[in-house]
Amino acid sequence: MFFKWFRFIVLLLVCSALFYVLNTGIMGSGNPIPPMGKLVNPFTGFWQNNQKTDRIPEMLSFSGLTSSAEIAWDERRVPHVFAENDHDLYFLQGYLTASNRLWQMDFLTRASSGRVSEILGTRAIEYDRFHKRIGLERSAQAMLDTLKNYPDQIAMLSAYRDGVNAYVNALRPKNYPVEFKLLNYKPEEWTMLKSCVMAKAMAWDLNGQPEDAQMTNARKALSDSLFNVLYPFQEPYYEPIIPEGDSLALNQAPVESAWKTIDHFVPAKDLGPNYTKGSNNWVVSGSKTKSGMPILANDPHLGLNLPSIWYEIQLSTPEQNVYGVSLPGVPTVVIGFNENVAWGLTNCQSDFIDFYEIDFADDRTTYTVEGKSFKTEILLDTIKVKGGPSIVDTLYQTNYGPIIFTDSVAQNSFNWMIPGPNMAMKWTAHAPTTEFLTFRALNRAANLDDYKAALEHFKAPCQNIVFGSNTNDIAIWHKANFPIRDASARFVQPATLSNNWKDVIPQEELPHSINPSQGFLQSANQPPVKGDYAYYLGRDGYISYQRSNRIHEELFYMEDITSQDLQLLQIDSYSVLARDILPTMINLVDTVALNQDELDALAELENWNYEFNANSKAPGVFQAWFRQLSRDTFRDEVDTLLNWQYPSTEVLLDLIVSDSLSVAFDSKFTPAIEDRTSIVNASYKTAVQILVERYGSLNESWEYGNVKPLTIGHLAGIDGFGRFGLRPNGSKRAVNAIGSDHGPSWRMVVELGETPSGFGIYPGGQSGHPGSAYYDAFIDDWVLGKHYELLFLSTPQDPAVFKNTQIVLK
Amino acid sequence: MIRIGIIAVLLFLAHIFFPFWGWVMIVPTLIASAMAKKISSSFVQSFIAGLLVWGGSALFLMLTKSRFIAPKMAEVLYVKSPWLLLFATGLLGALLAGLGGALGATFRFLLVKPRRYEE
Repeated sequence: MFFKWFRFIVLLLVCSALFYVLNTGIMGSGNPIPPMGKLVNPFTGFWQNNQKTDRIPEMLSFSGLTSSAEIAWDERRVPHVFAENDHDLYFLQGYLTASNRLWQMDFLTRASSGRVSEILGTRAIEYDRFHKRIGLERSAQAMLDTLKNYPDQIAMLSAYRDGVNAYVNALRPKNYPVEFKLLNYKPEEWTMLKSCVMAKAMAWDLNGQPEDAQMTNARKALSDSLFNVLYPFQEPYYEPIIPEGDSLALNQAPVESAWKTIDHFVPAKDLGPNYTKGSNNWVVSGSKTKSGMPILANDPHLGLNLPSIWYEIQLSTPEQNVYGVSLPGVPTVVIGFNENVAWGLTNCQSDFIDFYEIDFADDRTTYTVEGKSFKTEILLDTIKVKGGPSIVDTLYQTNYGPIIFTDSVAQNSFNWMIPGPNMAMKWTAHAPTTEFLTFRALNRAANLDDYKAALEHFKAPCQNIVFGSNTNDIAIWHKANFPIRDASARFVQPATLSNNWKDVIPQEELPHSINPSQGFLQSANQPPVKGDYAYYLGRDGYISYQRSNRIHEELFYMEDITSQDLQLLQIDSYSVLARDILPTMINLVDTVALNQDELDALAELENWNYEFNANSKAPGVFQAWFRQLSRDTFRDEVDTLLNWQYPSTEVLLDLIVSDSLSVAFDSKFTPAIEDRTSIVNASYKTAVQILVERYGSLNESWEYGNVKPLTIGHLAGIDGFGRFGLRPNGSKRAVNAIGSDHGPSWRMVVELGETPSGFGIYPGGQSGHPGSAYYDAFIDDWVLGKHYELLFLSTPQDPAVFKNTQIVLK
Repeated sequence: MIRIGIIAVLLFLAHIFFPFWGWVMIVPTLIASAMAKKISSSFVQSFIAGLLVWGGSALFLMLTKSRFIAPKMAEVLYVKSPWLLLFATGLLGALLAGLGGALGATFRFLLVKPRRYEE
């Protein structure tokens, strides 16, 4: 009898333990093990996340609609929504976006709100603490409170929310997107706050690279004259956004004389050269096009992930008909066109984050500014942790912004920009912003006046908003709320009574251009103006002349422009940097001293057409050489143990081609006196040596597509759901600005006219479900540089789509 | 054979109508505790039923609409091939069902004597 009980109990324990592990997974210090029983069973597990998500039912029915609607699906799975009113339109946008991108919407807002520990446990605590402290969700709440003054905004956000929740609430566990199953958590209801958090997440992604710490270190380490050479306020060479001579009537330099910065170094990691991403947009007026109508192009460059950051959609009611890409989680089209106008965005890269050193009392309940005492606002925030106790975090809020670190903290990939403990971070997007008003107004804009009125509401993140209309107006605006500051804002400043933010630069005085005589406008993250300008706009990683000059040169000489011409310009891989610097570099090489590998590589460079093509070998050699040249020239200038950044590409170009005697060439680390020639030769030999060590003597594996392949990884880093080893042409040195994990996230070219004709593509697919045929459907065509024709419908019964028109009942 | 059929049909119906992965252990446990004859044969019958239900259902989904998800999940779960993933799914279902069957049988034999020589 005892034996019978014994074997029963042993088996019962074994079965219970197995059930527990297979039902909850294991949260260890390594990769968490998913709940395998839940995950692999064919009835509710991943096998259910198959192509059935691709089915389009003929009929949908929602109690939340006020009247019926129609959705036409084209062959690329772009929904063309035809609704009777705004409420139904944004309800359906919410429903459609959620049904394709729910997990992405959940994860992105969760990450920005500092709620990742709720699903990943203790490993994410520091990530959450940081994101709670920079205050994305607090700012989103302030934004939502402000939007309550605009009834049509709340109507739009609540209709979108209800549409998302119509999907969420109808979702049965077996149909949860597969990432929920892998990470073992449940979808939750959407809120209007989450839409605002998405906006703040975007603002952080675009603004969150302040250079204040690096500039402070460089300024302290270098003499004034060398600092001005290496980190000039305006880089040489660039073609500005606002055409020169297109006077802003503000020819007066910003106050730069009395730099006030803290008098000590701020420690952090070495970022190395070239921490940048960027975007292009341009518009040509009818005077330069074949059709006589403006053509507008835009390709915003972002980190590339799957699911893609964009969801393509057409949104039509009797009052508006707009086509473009939307941001999952946010109603409206963000970049696109309607019957009359088109618009596009690039990032400003101006300075929107200032750091102030705060002089706290010991318990941090008060702080002193110039002898005057202020009370600290102390907030408590809770970080919930899966499988562990919650953590209560204390946030210290000052008039100069929140304190991000109170003690020294190991710097890492998400917090490197913070200069150190007791630094307040002031950010324009902390204020209640109203960018949703801008997008809603642009979606239904009919002319230049509508565009200007829409921009009034655009306060952050700063964008170069380019515009064209079928009344033949073109315009561009460097638009955000810019606090009026002096140039000390470039550095970490001591908090003073006078240097906190007060007024903003009026919109009419911000850099902008309307219908310039040159007949085109372009922006590629370069500084907006050249020469004197009355205000400090600052600079946080303005991206160099390489793209803007190429675009300017091409557009300047083009006539009778067609959409196809501009599509080709978007995938142009030509590097003006290589053209401008490489002949000088090659001339300086002492060929007698070269070994066979070095001679072979040099021959590749000499025969190069300066295009970053995936199957050429020269780009990889040039990149390695230029990077080494930058290191050899600059690495001795500032202590590399500190947080600092290399001088820009243009500064190095300028030294090489026109300042051969610069003291920057001499390394402080060696007794010998280096000059331009010796640095160019030494860096060449080192670069080739690195390539030979990695790839062997010159062979096929030197091809740029192999040296620098593109990864489009999954948003949560789930390897099986990403795409690896892609070989597109392009480089961040070219208009087609593709890096190893970022690049043109949406390429769009729109020709205006009686009806607009658009072309576009993004490196992803309409479905966010890895089990869908449409998950990564556009990637291969995107790699090849193709654009799709965008189907701008005026009715849902268009013959091109009539088979796939879905009736939606209320 | 009949017992395998009974377990398989009831398990399949439970999975379809009450979505919960744990039926694969619970259903064989309940059936075995009602009608098991031997622990070993209860294990084997449940094992085969689990294999049929999990493996068969996964095979059906694999052949009909899992062209994209199966290879991706094979990558995620480090088994590389979707066919190996299918095999693993079937085997997991079989093992869990088998263990459930054995548990049910040991429970039954706490209450009733096994009829050893019936066959």
